[in-house]
Amino acid sequence: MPDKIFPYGQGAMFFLLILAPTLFLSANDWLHAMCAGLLFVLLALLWLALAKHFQVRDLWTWIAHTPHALRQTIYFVLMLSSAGYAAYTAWRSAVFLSQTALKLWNVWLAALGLLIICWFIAKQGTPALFLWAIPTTLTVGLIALLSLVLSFPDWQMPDLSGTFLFSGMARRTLDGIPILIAFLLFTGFDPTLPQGRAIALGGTLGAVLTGVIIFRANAVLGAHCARILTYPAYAAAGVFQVGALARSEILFGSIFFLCLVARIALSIRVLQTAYAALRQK
Amino acid sequence: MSIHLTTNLSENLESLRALFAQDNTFVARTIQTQSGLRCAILFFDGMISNQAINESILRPLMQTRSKTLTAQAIADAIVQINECSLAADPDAMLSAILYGDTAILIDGDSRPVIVNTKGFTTRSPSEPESEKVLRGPREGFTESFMTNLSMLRRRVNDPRLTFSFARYAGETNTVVCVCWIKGVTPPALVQEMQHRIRKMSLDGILDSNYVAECIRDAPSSPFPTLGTTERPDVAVSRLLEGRVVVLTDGSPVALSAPCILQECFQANDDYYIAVRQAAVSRTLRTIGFGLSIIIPALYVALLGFHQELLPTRLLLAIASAQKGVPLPVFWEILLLLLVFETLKEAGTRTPSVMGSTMSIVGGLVLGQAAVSARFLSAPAVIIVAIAAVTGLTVPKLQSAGLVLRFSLLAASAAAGLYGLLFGLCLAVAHLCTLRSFHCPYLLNLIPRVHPNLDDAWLRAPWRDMPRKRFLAREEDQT
Amino acid sequence: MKRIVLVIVPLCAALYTGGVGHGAGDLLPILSASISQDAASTLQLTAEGVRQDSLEGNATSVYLTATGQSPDALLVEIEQMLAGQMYLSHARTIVVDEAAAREALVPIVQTLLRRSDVRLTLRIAVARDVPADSIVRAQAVAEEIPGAALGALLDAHAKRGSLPDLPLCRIADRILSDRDFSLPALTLTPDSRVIPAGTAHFQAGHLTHFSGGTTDA
Repeated sequence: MPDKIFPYGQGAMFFLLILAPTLFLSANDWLHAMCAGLLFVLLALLWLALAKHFQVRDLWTWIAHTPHALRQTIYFVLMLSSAGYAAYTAWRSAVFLSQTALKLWNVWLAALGLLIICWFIAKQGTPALFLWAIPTTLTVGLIALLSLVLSFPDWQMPDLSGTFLFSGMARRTLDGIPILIAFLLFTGFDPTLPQGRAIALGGTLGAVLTGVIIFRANAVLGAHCARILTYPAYAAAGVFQVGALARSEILFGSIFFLCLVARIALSIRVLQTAYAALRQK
Repeated sequence: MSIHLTTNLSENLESLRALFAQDNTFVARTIQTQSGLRCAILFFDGMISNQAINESILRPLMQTRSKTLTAQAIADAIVQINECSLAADPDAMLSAILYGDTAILIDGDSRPVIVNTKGFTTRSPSEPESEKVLRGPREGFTESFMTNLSMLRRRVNDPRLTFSFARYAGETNTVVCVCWIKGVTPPALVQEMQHRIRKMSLDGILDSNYVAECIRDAPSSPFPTLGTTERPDVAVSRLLEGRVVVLTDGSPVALSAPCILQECFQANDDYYIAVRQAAVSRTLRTIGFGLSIIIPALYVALLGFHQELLPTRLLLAIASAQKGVPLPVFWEILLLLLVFETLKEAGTRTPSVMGSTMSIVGGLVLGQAAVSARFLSAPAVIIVAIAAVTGLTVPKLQSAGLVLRFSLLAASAAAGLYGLLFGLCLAVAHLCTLRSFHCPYLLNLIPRVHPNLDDAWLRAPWRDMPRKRFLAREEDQT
Repeated sequence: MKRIVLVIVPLCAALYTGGVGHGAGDLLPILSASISQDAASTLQLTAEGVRQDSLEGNATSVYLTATGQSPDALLVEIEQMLAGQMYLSHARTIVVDEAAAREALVPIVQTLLRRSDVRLTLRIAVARDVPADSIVRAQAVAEEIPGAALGALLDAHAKRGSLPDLPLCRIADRILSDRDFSLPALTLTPDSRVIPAGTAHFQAGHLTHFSGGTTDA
């Protein structure tokens, strides 16, 4: 049975990628993030339609047919940008870790450790990476839903004035473009494995969940309080209490971390694939 | 070793006696027929059935009046036994008599006749110690190759059941048999298995694990990529599911391929007990395995990095229990896990008469005295005990559980719950890359195209599985 | 050789990092605290730490006192006293006296929000007619740990609706949005039992008045 990237894996990976920045978003970005996520879904579907029209299996295949100089340039740019993006995401994640749970850790070491772990995950190959996304998505989704349900009694309708600004939406969209490109590199037209439905479902769920989770931060903490906190989505996850169990934001914060690992691993996979393609004659 | 046979019986006997000069079990008995023709029978004492030799070979030979006898005539008309043939060459004759057959040499014919007179002692089929069931058949494979094959044949009353032998050159000349059902097992799988077995290069095979280590995928992975069983009913069920089974002479353990993670959580009697009971058992096993690898790491992570998660009273109780204990939490758990593994190893090696004494010593010393002396803390003992007991629910993943338990413990000691999470991520990523004979290891557990999720997590009723094939359907094979 | 290195190096790293982390007894959980302000605007913090010396024994409270000009200074002094072992993650209640409620609530809330170990569900109550630290030191009836009893009392009344239900995050939200809010008021009975004493009302983060009287616990 040959190894392929199956649609379920693509949908799962898209879900994780869209949900990943939730940890770092400010509280008034819930609608921006959700709209940006839905826009990414539309862009992905547009790309799939174009790929079907031009019979492009995936972007790597298309790049491989470009003239040599252009091809080498594209690979080089992809390598640099994916390496930079991976390092940037790892750094931000390491800062979060050192500020919350791992105060004894040096930020540089934490970022390096994260990159090494994601390197190993990415090294397993693209099909394995997308397959890994499926149980990860199930875990993330279940825990996120559980968190939302358990915190629901503490929700109070926040002040929604000034919620949507085009500048905010543009910012969220631009932030997510690099990872969207990284994801679309591995998608295209495959008559035996239609990808549209899975990607649409995964992306939509990711976008909606992002919006709801950040909205929850406003609803639970209060809109003004949520805005002054560095990680409002993380803080809001620990507000509720179930019996003697409280301060459980670490459990729910860890799911955001899984999404960040997916982002970094995918960026590294782009780096590895571009490097391998560059080395081929 | 090799000899050359001639038509002169005396010369042949001299060569053979020289070959086995120092072997007191080699017997070369010369006889004469009523017509005066000289023959010799060759066998190894202890390997043969005396009754078969006396009644099927000696009596008919001694009573024959024919003046001229050829080896073919003896095989066709004289010897009165179910299996009798001419040996292809002297090496085949040697191999046969070394395995319990008897060779007949005739003066005037260089071809030896090989007669099946195997009579060595074998263990009777009994329920395997490591694969007991609450309900269901209780037969187990033995070290006797033909007995094992007969157990499979009895259960699959179908001419499509095929056994293909290969005998290994080397010191032990062991037979390895590949079994499959035509029309059920994919031919490519059979060919792949036969190819891998042919490529083996060992000087001796004493157990199926020798074969397993040579043919398995991902040899360094702690997860099993070849199934094993000592039960013929389980072996047959795997054949019916489209797998291939390998039997090794001298070993009661059968191998099966491909092996997927799903089958590691299945117990033998899952299919012999009621559906709901089996579903509950399987769920408990899955949860148990998860607990056994996660609980020690979770304990270390919570105490070392995330004390805010613990209820106040529990935190105070654990803190008081740990007062005076000289070791940090991670070292304490690590030491206890090592001691437990040592106890398990000692329990396996200890003769049963001493076993109860050792378990009392282990339990009292570890459980009571060490805690009272503040060498260890009670919560740590409880955590390791839970991990140890739950780890025994999935015996097929003992090795994987051991590696994961220690790895996740180290990861959580370094980075708390995040370390535990990263460790689990790496483990899942590793599982995603594993294949067993080109079959994905996580087949049926993770949706791919059209998932064949019957019997994946919970046991499905038999009426919903008329054709229980573990392999995904055709469309998944693109 | 490679295999041995691959095993020994991570093992040594794990043994080292495993010895570095905290144990359960390394931190002193603070369950409740009081902050009062004197005429010279000096703040005094009384923190109730809890410890249990043996598995068979009961948890006992220890009280630490610190003074300072700002809430940050109070916490720094307590941390220095405990050599970095102060652990606010289990703190459920902070009681402020009337003077601190009038003038110092906003900096207290800001200080608490800056700390990552403080629960956002922490409750703040105002001591009415009694010193704040007497509320924190008062003996509990149903619980052996006064701080736990105090937290349970406030939670129960908040659920019933007889006292305002405003955790720290909501207090901060009200202050930042310039909205009025109310906090529970507490006092002591003649036999030194803590009971609710109505509601303390705040405007722009400063105590303005009390309302309501004592209610049965």
